[in-house]
Amino acid sequence: MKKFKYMDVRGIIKQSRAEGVSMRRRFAVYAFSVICLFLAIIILLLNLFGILNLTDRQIMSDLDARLSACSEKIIGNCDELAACAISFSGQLEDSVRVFLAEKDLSFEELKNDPDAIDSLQDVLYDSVYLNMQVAPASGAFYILDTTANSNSPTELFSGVYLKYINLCSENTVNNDFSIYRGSFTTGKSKDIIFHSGWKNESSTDFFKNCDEVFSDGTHFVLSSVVEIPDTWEKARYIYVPIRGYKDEIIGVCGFEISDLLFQLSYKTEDGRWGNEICGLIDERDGGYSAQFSTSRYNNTDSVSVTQERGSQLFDFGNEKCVGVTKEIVLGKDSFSVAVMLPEAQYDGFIRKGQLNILFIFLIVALLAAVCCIFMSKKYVSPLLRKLEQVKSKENGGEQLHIREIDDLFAFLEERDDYYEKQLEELESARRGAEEEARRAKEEYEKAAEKYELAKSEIDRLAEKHSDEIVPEQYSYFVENLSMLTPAEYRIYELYLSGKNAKQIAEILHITENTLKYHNKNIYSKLGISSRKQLLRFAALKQHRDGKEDWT
Amino acid sequence: MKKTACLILAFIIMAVCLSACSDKTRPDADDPVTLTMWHVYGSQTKSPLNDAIDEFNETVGKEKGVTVNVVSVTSSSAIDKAIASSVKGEPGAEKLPDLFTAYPRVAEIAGEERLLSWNEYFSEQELSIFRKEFISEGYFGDKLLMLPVAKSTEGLFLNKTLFDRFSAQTGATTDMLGTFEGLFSVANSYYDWSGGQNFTQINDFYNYAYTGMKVYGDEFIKDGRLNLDSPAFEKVWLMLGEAAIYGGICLDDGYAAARWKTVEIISNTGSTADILYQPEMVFYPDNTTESITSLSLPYPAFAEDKPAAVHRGGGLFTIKNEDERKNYGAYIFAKWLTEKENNLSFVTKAGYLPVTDEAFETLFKDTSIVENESYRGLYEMTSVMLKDYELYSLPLYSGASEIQNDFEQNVKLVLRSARNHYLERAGTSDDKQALSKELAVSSLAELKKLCARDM
Repeated sequence: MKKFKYMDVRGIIKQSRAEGVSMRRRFAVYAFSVICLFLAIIILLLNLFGILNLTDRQIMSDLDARLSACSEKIIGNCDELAACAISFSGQLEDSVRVFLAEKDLSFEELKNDPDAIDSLQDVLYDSVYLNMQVAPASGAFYILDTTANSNSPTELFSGVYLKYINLCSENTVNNDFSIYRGSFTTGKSKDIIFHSGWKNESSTDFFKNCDEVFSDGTHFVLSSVVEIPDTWEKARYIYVPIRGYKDEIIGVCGFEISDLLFQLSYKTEDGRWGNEICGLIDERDGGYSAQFSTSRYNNTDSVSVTQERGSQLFDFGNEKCVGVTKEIVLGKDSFSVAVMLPEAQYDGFIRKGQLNILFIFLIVALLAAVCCIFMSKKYVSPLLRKLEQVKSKENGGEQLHIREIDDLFAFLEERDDYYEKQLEELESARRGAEEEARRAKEEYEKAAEKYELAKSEIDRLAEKHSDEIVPEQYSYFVENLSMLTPAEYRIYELYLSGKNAKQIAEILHITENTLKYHNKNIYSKLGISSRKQLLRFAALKQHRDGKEDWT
Repeated sequence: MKKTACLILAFIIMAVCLSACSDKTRPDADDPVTLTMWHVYGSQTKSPLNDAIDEFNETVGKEKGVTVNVVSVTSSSAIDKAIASSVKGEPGAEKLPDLFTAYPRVAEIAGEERLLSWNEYFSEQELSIFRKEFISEGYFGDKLLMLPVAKSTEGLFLNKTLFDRFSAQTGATTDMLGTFEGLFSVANSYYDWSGGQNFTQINDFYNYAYTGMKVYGDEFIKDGRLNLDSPAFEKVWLMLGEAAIYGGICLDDGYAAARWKTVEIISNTGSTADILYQPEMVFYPDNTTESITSLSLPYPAFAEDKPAAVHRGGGLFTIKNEDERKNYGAYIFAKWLTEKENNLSFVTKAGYLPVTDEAFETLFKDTSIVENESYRGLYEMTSVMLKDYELYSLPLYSGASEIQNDFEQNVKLVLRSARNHYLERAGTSDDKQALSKELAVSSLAELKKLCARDM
């Protein structure tokens, strides 16, 4: 394969420049510019009317991807917590049974027996602590359907509830924790920090419809978001039943998933579209409750979700978000995983996208316009100038570098030169002919003058000699002219035209003797004796014939 | 006509170009930033700063595209530890937050080069509104790394309900709690009266020693080291030691508020912000409860004619971010939080002092603007302290955080050990006060030994 050297390429380019670009290619550029402009306008209009909203599609596509990842993680974490809770429950059931057997107590006998409850808490504490360490939760608890003080104005339930104190990471292992619910004795004996909102026993609605909830084989329940009493936190609880000897539900145990832990686990991504917020929403009793990856929406009292423009609109009252949702089932209830952007942020990106399109449109339009102006200035204007030159018949001028046009003008110039030459030649010929005519006229005028003079002379001579001619001889002569043979008449005419005998012999290709023979016959027939007399009679006859003609 | 069309076209192109190349150093509602925050302004039960942040997020933050996301409400020592873990990149450590509140000592832990200099964002005029004694603590050289958002001083908190019961039987009065001498005497008396209950908890021993030595004319920190050989330190130590060894003072770790709740103590010294943690109800081991009222008293004096206390409360730090919008977002939040109305609203719900001259004057000119009665009592007490007390700022030196923590631990360790000795010997001793004095003296030598080892 032949390798092009740099110089070769330069040569080709130079040659190409010298040859110019073909008109077809130039018009292709024109057409391309116009098509670009047209497409830019179409894209702009589609974008402005929201038909072709590229930014929106990109946002939704990215949110869908994040939604998928979030859903997987939420389901995974929930399954892990549920598994831990079921194991936790099993441990508690065994411990409670052993404890009651050892103490020879029934579960019902625990009620109003603070010492027995304290002892039981002491036994069960380790299970709570160990399961809290294992599970990805912000707290662990068990609550039994019994109390140390049934006389309390509010219904209370005994149990141990441990909570991490200072969560600042999804990783909860080795964090300090406190006792949030549990007996004073248990807290002191285990040397645990007491939570600021610590109380002996819990007032809870976990037992509300508990039998019914778990009667259909439901393994676990993930609660709605509730405020944790005596704290500034909100949380969901994942809980499972603790069953007694007769398989009756004697309590529940499970884990706390605080808003903070949710935020730490599903961090708001500062991604391509700014803050992508993840949330877990559930609708119960006609209202929504939700946990989000940012505290910004966790404190809102309500959220409503509506379908709008192919995406979900989350209305938090004072603020709205746009995003996507996916239905998942956790336990026996349906939840929606949501990934969303604040509406202002979303609108901002859409506007930015539209501005970008407008910007591109303007650039394309500008480039197309510049291209047209350039092409007009560079190629059309010289073409028009060239035409003007052609009109004004100026030769030379600039080279257009449009192959076809240059060829055309070269051809026209060539033709022009050819016709110029032709014209010059014709002009010259005309001038020659005119000169010739003028000269011929002059000669004619001279000849006419000579003729007139000769005619006058002839007339004068004829008049002079008419007196010397015998009229009878002349009459004889005239009458017998018709008697001449053609050859003789020809010779007669030649004499009249001024030819001498030698010339006539040459003209008629006859010998002088033959001529003399003819002369003799002519003389004889015309009644004359010499050539001189012949010429005189002939001249007189011509003179007289001429006069007759004139008359 | 042609000229006008050209001008319009040029304007549109320019506008579009300018919008495309818009200033990306500031957040806006269309492109907001989220700032994570760790702070100390709140308890497990309530957090006034969280409430303030919610208000910011819903108003100015929403308008200017800044969301502050509180990730952790914890103690300053926990923040110090977490910052250290993050900086060192320890396994499981959380990413450094964008904003955090801490004491000046954290600058050394975090590294000054990582911290944003507030004076690059606040103008001189904006900084001039802050109280000089508060803002001066935040300067590291010419860089303002810590912005005061809420300050406190120290006071004494008392479970008035139980003290009244004790007082009725022993004649102890709250006036006796005006000095440490009186406080320790009452503490020992309460110990005897209650059958072995601690009366009070000292938060912090470091501040106690620092203030005491100042009052006695010496410096607790000399050349960046604890000045434990000073006679002044011996004086403050023996006072404390005797009471602690006798049993009047709680030497356990943990929060005083939790002990209030379980009636293990009925008073404590600490930041004015401790009021946030004061329970309204106490629980007894027999599963009964009792509603209580609390009382805020000035920090006990070492000498009646020279009352003194320390300023407490750290300030707001920001980790420098490559995204300049976040740095500017932090400035927007800090500016909002230190504006008079916002600052007053926040600090008066948390027991702190406002940080600007104007807010300070407004509060102490008329403390009735504080709605909550016990908080109002706190500010009335603070007003007295501001008038009569010498208020010191804790010094900043290399290793301050570690030295302070070690000192706290060593004091408790030494005194607990001495207390155990006391309990062993108290049964056979006729003069328990003399025994506690003897053990206090010997424990000083032990403390010096321990602190020397740590240094």
